[in-house]
Amino acid sequence: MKGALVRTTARACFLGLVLILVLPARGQGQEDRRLKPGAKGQICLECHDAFQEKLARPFLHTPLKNRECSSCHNPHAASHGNLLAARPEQVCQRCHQDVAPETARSVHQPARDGQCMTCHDPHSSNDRFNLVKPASALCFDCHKDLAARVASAKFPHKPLQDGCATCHDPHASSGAARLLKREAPGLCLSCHSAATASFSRSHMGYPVAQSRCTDCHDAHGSSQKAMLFDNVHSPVAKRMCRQCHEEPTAANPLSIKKDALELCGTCHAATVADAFAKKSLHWPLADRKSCLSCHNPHAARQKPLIEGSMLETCGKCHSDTMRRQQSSLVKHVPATSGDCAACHEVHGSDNAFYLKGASNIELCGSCHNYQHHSSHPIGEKVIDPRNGNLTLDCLSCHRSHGSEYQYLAPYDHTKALCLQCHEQMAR
Amino acid sequence: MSSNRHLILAAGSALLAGIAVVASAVTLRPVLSVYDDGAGGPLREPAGVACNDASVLVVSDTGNGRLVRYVYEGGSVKQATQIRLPQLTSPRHVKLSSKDEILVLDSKARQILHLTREGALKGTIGSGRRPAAALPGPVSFDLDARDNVYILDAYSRQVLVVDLAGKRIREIPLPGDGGVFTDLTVDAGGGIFLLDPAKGTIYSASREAQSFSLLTEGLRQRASFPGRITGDGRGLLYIVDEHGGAVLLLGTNGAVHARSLGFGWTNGLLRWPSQMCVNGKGEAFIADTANNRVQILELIQ
Repeated sequence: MKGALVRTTARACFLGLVLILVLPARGQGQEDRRLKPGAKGQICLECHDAFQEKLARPFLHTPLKNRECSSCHNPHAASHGNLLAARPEQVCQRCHQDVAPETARSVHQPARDGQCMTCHDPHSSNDRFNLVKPASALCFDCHKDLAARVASAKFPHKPLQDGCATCHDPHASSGAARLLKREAPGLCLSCHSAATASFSRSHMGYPVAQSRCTDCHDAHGSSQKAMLFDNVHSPVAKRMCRQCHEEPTAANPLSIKKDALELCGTCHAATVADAFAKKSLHWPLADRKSCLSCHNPHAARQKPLIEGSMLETCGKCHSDTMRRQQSSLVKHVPATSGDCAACHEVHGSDNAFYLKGASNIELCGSCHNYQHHSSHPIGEKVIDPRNGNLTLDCLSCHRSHGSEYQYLAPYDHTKALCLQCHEQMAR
Repeated sequence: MSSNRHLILAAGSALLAGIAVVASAVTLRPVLSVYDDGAGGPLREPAGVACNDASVLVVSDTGNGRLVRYVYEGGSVKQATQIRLPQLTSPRHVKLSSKDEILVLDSKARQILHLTREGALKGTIGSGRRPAAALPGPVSFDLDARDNVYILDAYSRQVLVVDLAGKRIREIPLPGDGGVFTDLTVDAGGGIFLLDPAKGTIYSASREAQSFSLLTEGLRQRASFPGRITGDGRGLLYIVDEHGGAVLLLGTNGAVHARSLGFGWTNGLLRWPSQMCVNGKGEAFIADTANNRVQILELIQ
């Protein structure tokens, strides 16, 4: 009995030892033994013959070059399109982890959203970095406004011919906004030396090396000499810096000679006087920065020297209005296009809401002529039933900065709007 | 249940935005709307209201270029008197001194007019540095319990404190972050609360402080354009949401207690409201500018 137990134990130990030694060896060799040669990729090309054209391109993605289709694709089944082994951005991130680090100051939206294939062909390309198009053409596919400006510029910026990546990092920038490799002036000064006589002469001897070049120059080219923004303030165009600034040899040469309001008012006296004659002055004019709150005194892309678009400039304070417009299902064109001044007096107004003219009926009527043929009664003689101190006008039923509802109405359907006043019609 | 969930969600989003929210049953209940000057003349775009504990209510009837002085007692307005002056063409922010004298900021003259309680001109109050005609003038002002005037002067980037005779007492520089400061209020202890609607922030400075410090931020998560501020001397601040037609009620520590009222035409709703005043009796008055009326409300706690 005892001998049988010893034999059984010894047999079990032997079998265990065999299993320990043999099983890993079987696992290791299993793949090689079961897969045909080239099964990781070469064999795929036997069926996917359209890849011959891709393989002929000069820039091949490394996995394809190594015929390792299974690096990205699952050859049997997958939960993702094109038999991808994971979500597309996850597949890319297996090798390209640090494309858009979380600490970056600015990140390109496709990189942030994991839309790598917006710009890259995952197999091969005729262009470096497997781009789906030549670099500049690719960028301009989305940045169409910029493309139009670049195309029409009489004075292009030469680095742009080498591609946007000369100044921008296409994925993310760790140290600068707008994907710039460095902020201005550092980036600009890497090509343009501030130490030359011509640089000093161009800037009338003023020490601008530490100023932000892009306050005056359009880095994408313009139709003004020296690539100044297309709208140049007259004293700048005439090189009359000293009209506003201290002498270049002064202790603070870039300081302006007077307060902005007073300084601007020496030439723009009529504009200032007109604003000051109104019942309400727009807040920026009451501030120390005054005109410079909204205008660039040197050059700007927008007329009349507006700093940025009106959506950006007005939106600095009126972000709620911009947000309302953007999120509205029904939009008002002047608000969408940032033409705030189409309806509003921007410096000062006699109207409590800075509207142009005494009545919004006239103002709206300058674009909409409904009141001449098919309007609900409106005007000074038509009392608003909701409030005897109001008369009916366009804003009695419409919201001018966009609405969730049809016809820019403030309520969810016509009935709710009409019943505000016509309660007796309710059923 | 649903309203509780909304309250929790609102509190959560406000906390994320940096605002403390206090669960507190405080709100404003509409009592009465004032539509005319007592003689049948309608109010037009009123932009200012002043009140006190002695039942005096003064309205800047801005669109008509006049002030109207009322007595509000027993739930009704009476003894309406209109005040017209050549210097008064666009009256806006208005305050009452401890002696019932009227101080009003005229946005066209761009100066603060000092009137007797009957409405006769006593003088003007300003920085006195340059002729008012050449300057944008004060943005807003308030009075403390000693009738010192706190002038918000964005052009000089400071709050200037003067007495009623115009004698300079002190000045506090505005926070140096390029803010858009539209209004201020002074509490009973001389503490100043300064409002920046663009950033949605309130700064405060105690009676002896030499500078402002941030009290709260993220108000734009709770209000479209928090453009006006006032206090009630009892620990509450009222922020008028000019674009949203509502009022935020805050503690003087910056914690939000409630959002009250809403946008609309009927009584109890507001369209582009401006100045608000709350007296010691818990009566609140709002210049409901685009509705051409003043609304009287009751603070419910």
